[in-house]
Amino acid sequence: MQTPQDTELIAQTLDGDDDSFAEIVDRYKNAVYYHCFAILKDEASAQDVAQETFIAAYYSLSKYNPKYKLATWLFRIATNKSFDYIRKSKHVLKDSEVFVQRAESRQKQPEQEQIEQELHAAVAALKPKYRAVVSLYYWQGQTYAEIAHSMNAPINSVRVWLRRAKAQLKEDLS
Amino acid sequence: MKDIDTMLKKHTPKPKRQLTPTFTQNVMEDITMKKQHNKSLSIMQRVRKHATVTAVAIGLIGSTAAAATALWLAPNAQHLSTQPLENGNRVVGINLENCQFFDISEGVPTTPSERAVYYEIHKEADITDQKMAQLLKANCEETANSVTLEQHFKLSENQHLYTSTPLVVTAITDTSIRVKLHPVLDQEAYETFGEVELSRISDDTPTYDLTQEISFNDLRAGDSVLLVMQNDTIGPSEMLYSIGPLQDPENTAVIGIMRITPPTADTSELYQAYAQDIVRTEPCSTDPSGFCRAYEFYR
Repeated sequence: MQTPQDTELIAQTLDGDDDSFAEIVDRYKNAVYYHCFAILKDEASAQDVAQETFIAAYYSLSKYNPKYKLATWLFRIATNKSFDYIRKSKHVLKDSEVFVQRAESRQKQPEQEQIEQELHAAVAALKPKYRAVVSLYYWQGQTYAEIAHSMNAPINSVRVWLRRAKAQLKEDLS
Repeated sequence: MKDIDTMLKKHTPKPKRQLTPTFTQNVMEDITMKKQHNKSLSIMQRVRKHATVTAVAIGLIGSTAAAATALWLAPNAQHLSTQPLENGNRVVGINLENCQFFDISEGVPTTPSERAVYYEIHKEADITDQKMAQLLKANCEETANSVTLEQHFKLSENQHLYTSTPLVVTAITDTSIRVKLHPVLDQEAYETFGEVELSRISDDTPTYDLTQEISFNDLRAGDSVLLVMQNDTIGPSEMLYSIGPLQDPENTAVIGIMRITPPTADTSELYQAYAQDIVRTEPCSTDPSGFCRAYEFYR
């Protein structure tokens, strides 16, 4: 049987078929969870926000603009929800915690793993906005235009944020 | 130091803990729960309104003179103010005139009244300030219609009577009336039944408008009406704003008609928006925004 397109699943959901929405959730839950985790740096919070993302998407489905990929739209909701979560809970790893993580990784990990740990700790120390851009560009494979839509920002801002994020990572890891 | 681009592409951070296996199920259960909550809110608002209406009606039955001449002043709703909030939402103030608002009873229908109500509208909601005013006006009209209907027909719960949703007359003779749902109503939500002909009716069926008794023969195609009906087969569980008898026209007798002004909007939109798109709020000094919510958004 042919796998239904996202647009078919959306139409069926809007027609009252909730099973179609469950298929959308199954299709994108890991991508949304990983993206939330990249911003929030905490599994439990990322799972909560991913869940909130899909619930919000369900209730706003009629407003979805098919001009963009469904994933782009879901990332937009997930990014907003993650930023809201940070604002509400002030859930940000303090610099000191990041440095402790990096120091621990240097002591305990083999070289490859150590590089990865240090990189992730450095990303975790970025501003939430930069973390979101890095996650969408490098790990979710979004284009500048898609990121601009996901983050409700001009493409040029996305370029600038990504350049600044990389500059900070270089400085941190050098 | 390797190129940052290559490093970032190569090392995707993976959460140590995967999503719980029941993630999708949890999302769907949450959606179902919220839908039920929304439905309960809607029913609750209608029940509260019915309770208010009944109380007012009882008060009026005692005075025959008042019942014969009472004139419900036309409700109105006007946009008063819009205040953006830091969270991206906005608080909209609406001035209501001559409105029995939910459980707040202000004076009697014949006395002019005025009050401001405030709603926080979610930033992702489609509702415009103008639409909000329209929905509230429709809500005031619905209450005014209900009170007047009960006043005219002395309705009581043990009569097992049904009052319809707002309908439009499409044809009328001395022995029958054809009606359809009013076009402002969400046709799907009321399980569209198209046009219905009710023939258990006569030209001496008690007929009123919002102020006085009129003749059945004064009704015309295009008039907006509420019907009071009696059904031989449906139980007495539904009392107010019912379409059940209209889906069973052979067993339904029309025992009264009230001509109303065409409704401004479908109040079910207002009920559905509660907690999802709007929450009631009141001016207060304890919140920096100057407004305190009556309940929280669930989105």
